[in-house]
Amino acid sequence: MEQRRTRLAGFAVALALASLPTPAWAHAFGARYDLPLPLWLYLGGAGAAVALSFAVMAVVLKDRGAGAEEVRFDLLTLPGLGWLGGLAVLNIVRGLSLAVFALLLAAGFFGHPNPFKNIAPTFVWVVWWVGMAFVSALAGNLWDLLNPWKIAFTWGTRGAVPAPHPYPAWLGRWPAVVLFLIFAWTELISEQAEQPRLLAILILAYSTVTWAGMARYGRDTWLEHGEVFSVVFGLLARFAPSHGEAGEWWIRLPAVGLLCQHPVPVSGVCFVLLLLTSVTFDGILETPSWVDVRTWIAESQALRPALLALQDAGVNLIALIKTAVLVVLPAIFIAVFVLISKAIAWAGGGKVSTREVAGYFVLSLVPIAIAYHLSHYLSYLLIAGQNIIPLLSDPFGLDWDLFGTANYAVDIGVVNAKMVWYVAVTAIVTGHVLAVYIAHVMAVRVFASRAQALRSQIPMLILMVGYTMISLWILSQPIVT
Amino acid sequence: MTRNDVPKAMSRRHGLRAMAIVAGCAAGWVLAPGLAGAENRRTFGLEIRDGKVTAAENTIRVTEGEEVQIDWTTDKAVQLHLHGYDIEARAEPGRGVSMTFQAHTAGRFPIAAHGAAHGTVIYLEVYPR
Repeated sequence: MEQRRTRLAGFAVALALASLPTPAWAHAFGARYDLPLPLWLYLGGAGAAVALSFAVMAVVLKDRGAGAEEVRFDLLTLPGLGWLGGLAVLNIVRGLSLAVFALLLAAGFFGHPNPFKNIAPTFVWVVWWVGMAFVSALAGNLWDLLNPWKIAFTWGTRGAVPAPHPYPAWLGRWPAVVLFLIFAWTELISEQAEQPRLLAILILAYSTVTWAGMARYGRDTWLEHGEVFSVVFGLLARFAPSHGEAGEWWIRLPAVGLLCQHPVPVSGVCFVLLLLTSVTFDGILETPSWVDVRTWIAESQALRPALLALQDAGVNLIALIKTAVLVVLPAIFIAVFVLISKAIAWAGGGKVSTREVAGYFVLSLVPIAIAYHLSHYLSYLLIAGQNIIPLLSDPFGLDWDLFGTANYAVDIGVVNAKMVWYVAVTAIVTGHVLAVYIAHVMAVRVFASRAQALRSQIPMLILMVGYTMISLWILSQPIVT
Repeated sequence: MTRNDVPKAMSRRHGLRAMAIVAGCAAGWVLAPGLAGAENRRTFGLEIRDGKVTAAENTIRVTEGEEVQIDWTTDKAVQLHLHGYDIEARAEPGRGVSMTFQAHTAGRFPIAAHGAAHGTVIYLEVYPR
């Protein structure tokens, strides 16, 4: 009895301790967190989102949104810009990307082991993972050009690849789903992902998987189904008002890339919902409510024996709880989405199956996730991102000063707290309105009559308003880490 | 004096009066923030006991521009670090320490501790004007 109680006390302490950030990491970035959204902005944003949803419905009723994808223009046809799409320029950019990739690997293996003296962790987690997401969502599919795995494979094999195996249809996007789960776990739950050496090892491991997949199934097939970052950034890029391909750079209306002719297959639907959930999950982990849930679990009588047994077996309980949530939350979101799809299918006349409805409408949720991601990460990108400036002068932590910026001090005032609030709420409301618009245009295309299309959108509107409310709620919570 | 001189004299008096008003306003505008600043000093006394701050709430709030003074007392030696502003202080039992700074940047800043306490002991929120 006595032993049990002390062990549980130990667990409680461990629970409390493990909830705190790794000091080195937090110190590195001169941490400034966003202030919680004031109540008037939270309510105002919510009200605006709902009110504008009805305005959108009225507009689409009149206009049908037909031909929204045809409104586009190739920037490179402008005089003086054509060279940007030329092979020479593209190959120089690709070469630079590959050089950066090599630099990161070198820094990871041979550079300073301290995460904030080494260029690899800051570049990978701030500049690339957060920055490329921003770029993809706002400027388009730049990743298609920069993807080092794609470049290395293309240049490395130069066409001397044996004929690829046909890609089994049932496999769909599931490889990307599995790899994304692993990546999200690494990013959000493992405490080691900022260690330069481990990061380099992970990059190498992922490269092996990627190149093996490309060799077996063909480069482009693997990029579409299994190269998880191409799938993620490609999905975000659908939202962007610009899109590049084959020496052309199209400017188009925002979000119209999310309109689809064919329903997204089941594995794709699961991928999208998994991505969306992980974005929200990241924010939830920083709310006081999460701390309350964790405390409740730690003090729960019912779970005590199981938790103690696991702790005895050497399991890290915090990581376990977070992992459980990482898996359960998407499952819940998928279940909710299936129910909403059923409701949409029924309200829309019953001729289109639930599976097809899910496939047609899942992409319309993406703008809400992008808006939240932008709001949540704006100051992080602008403040933590400044660390790249001194690191460029001393990438390996060897006291170099290549560009004279080695002593640059991060300016935490670079983005004003009020500006962050206004950008956040504007982004969230805009994302919501675009989401509602896309869903309505899809409904008008998928369902036979306008009346059915309109009715079918009521469940969708409920889902979207709920999702937007969750985003706003998270932003109104004080950040606790 | 001609009729034209009267307006000149009047206008000179008006001019001087106007200049005095403008100078007064300018002086006020320059001095006021300083005067206001002297009155806008927020002082917090925080005690660390058993590894935690004894305050009821886990956040202290000030407004941008205010002078802030945090007086720390502790039952065991602890190293404190206010993030963002990057202010360090070491408190020991019987020897309290003060963090004094101007809250020039709005945001939410954790105050982390090493030693007797661990991790974030309290948050400082600086609200924009």
